[in-house]
Amino acid sequence: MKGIVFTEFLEMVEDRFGLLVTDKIIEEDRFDSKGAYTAVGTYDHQEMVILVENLSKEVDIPVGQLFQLYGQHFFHILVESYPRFFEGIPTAFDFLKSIENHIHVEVLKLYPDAELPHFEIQDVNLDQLEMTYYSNRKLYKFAQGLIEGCLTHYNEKASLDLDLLKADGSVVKFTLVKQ
Amino acid sequence: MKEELAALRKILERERKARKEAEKILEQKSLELYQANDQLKKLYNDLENRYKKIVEQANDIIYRGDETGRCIFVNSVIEKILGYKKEELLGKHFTFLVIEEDKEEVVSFYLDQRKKKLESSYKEFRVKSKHGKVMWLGQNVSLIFNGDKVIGTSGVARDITKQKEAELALKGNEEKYRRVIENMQLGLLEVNPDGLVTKAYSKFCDMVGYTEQELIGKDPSLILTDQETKALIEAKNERRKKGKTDVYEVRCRRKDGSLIWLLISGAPRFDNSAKFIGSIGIHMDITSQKQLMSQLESAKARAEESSLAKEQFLAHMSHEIRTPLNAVIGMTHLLEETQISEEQEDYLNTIKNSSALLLNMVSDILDLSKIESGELDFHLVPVDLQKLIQKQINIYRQSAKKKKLKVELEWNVSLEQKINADQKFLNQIFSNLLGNAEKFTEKGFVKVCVNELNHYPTSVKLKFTVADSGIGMTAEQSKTIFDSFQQANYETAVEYGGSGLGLSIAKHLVNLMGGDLKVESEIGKGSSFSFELAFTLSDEKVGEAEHSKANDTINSVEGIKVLVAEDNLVNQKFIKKLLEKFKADYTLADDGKACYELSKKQKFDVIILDMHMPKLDGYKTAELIRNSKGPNQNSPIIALTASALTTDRKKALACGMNDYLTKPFSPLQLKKLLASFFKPNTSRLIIDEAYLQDFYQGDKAFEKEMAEIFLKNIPKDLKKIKTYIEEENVQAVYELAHKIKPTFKMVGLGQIEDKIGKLESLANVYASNKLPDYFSKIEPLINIAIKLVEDRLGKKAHPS
Repeated sequence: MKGIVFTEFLEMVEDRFGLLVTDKIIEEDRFDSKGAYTAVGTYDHQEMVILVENLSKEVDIPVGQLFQLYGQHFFHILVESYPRFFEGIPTAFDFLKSIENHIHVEVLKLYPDAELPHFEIQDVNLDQLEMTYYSNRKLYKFAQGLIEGCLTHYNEKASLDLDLLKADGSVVKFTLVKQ
Repeated sequence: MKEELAALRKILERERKARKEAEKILEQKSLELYQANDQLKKLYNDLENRYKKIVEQANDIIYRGDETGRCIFVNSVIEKILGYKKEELLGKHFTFLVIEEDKEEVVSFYLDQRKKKLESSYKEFRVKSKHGKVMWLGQNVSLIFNGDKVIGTSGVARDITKQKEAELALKGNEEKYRRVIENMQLGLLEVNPDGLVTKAYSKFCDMVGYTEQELIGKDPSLILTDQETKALIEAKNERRKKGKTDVYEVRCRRKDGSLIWLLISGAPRFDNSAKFIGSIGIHMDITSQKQLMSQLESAKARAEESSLAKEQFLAHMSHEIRTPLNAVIGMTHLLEETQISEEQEDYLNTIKNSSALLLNMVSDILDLSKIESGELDFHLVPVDLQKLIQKQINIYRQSAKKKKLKVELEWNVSLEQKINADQKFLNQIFSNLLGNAEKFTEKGFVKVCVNELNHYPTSVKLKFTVADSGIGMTAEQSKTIFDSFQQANYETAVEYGGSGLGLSIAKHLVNLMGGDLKVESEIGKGSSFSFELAFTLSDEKVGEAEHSKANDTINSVEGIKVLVAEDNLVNQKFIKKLLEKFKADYTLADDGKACYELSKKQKFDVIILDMHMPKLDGYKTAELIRNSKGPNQNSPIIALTASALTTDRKKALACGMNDYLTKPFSPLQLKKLLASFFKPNTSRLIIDEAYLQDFYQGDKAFEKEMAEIFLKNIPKDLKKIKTYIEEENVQAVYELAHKIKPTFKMVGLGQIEDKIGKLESLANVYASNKLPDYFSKIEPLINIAIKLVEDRLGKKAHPS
């Protein structure tokens, strides 16, 4: 997993829950990275799961919810750091539809070794969008947060339903309906 | 607070670590980038070098121009083609090389390309090399764009001088020939593959009376011709598409309505890729020739009609006169065979001579027509000239006796050999001249004078004069005396009679023999006709009897079965008597029908058919016999005809007859002809021992040697002759027959020598159609001869 996901997460934890909590959730002895992350590095994604599980225990917020929150936050980071991703893309739906063929292509230019999830888009109509998430990381809640962050960025309102097509969360269908 | 500090410290520691790691990653990335860049540079240089090499090695001039059209790059090919170094052209405007005459056109062409923003263009123009030579370049130019703006050009130019010169030469030639044809009173017309006019040249327009504008795009056959001709022209155009050329005539209507005939020579036209692009027609006005031709045709038809009428008349007259004459001559021959007194014999001779003369008269008329139509045949035989003239004189002596005229021969020639001449021609000449002299001379003399002009071993040139002491002629009359049907004057005709053809024929015949008949005359004193002729000399000596020899060579026709069809009773009687004399076994038929019936019942050796018979004429009878299965389908048939016309003879042979006999004929002629069809009794062939004894005088060794030479050569030569006859190599037959002829006498077979002699003379007159028949007749005989010689030699070699 790309380092930026770790660095941004830890920054968010510091901001919201303070230095002590941040220090607590990092298990230096257990992590290959010893908890020292840099945005341009690449790390075992299992460390991310442990960090979130540890935080969940510290602050008593479910893991899923934390991933979702972080997704929303991370989208905001993307907007700030990579404005060119958004050039010429006018709506949230347009952005979501372009993930596979545009955003991921751009990401791979910067991080050739990035392992990205796969999205299938079913454009039902102008007001409704179905996209299916495929990933062995099963981080669909993080994806949900990102989608929500996207809606927020474009200042659009839409209902978002999840349908776990596989119980382990490796295949999940998101249905967005504009409101 | 303490806890927080410791956590902070830890975080700081982690941050430091992270930073170092990030730096390491960045350094690594930086190195990777550098290496990647390095590789790309190398790749780029490689490509550039390769590109440069290609550009420099090209056969064409490759260059770049800037946005103003100035040269910023050019390959070194330019030096090879135009003599300029690269450096000399860099910075120069693209029009620098273009020759003055083409400059304006070239500039406007490329301005246009820029204006229209055409990505690429092709243009051919002339340039001047550094050494002043004008050359043709064919140039591709591509515009280089930056967005919408033209920032330069790239061009590829090829030297096309040679192609261009060839093209121009071709065009020049085409133009040249077009101009030549136009000046030759020939009208040119070009049409496209659909047959529509694409160009009409002025001469063509003049011919048909239409302007080029009126013809362009039109189908000329619609404007100029009728339906039938249109179909013809369309058919010709179809042939053009297949690349065929043609010459044909068509009738056309001019704009003014008049009709003309055009001779059209049409040829297809193809472009460089051999695609059919239409036809070109060359037209010649042949209206006047056509008119002339039709006039000529009708004139020819009229002439042929009148010629045919004349020939028919002659044939008819010939028949009418010859038939009774045949009886007279025939009966005379028969009378000759009876016991008669000397006085009677004298009278008989006069009848014989006169009837012969009369026959000649008839022949005269026919001959004149033949001479005039050039169909008279020449037959050279050995002639005893003195005897021939004397005979003619004797004929006239009879009638001259009454007038007490002296008719004599003054012979000033020492001829030991006979001359080769046409006996009939000479007889006619002297008969006519003597007859003429005798007719116009009342007292005094008629004299034939023969003088030698020169005498060589193989030839002689003689001068003949027939002079009289008759009434003579004026100089005026002498001029027309040789014209046909002309006598000295009308009174002459009334007083002396005659056809007026004699002198004309004589002159013609003398001409045919290579001389010229002239006359000198004085009124009241007489006339003198003279001519000079050259003859080759024969091997035969004067005084050798012709008849006895001929008689010897004829085989006996004794016992042969002859069927005779003849309706004229007198002629029937004549033939009957002759056949009785020949001891032939004959059957008579009164007409063709009876003859045909008889021919179905019994096999005959020969059939003699008169051509003019009631019920079924000779031609039809012959056809019937030949076309029906019967014993005589292949028997020889002889045509008896009173007509001496070649056409009648041809007709007889065409009906399947084998030969013909013209009435009146002599007994000898009939016997010869019969014998020629009758297979000789070969058992009678014997070696003439007496001759051999006489010839070799007992020299048996010499005789044997000759026999051996004979046996060695003759069988081979016989085969050769057979092959030559099959190949129709008449000349070779003649030569070989001539060569082997004497050999037979040397082995005591003089009989065969005569047969080979006949073969030789047949070949000599190119009677190639008769050779196979005759040869098949004598071949078994020669084989028997060979056998005889072999046997005789064998006896000699092994005397038993």
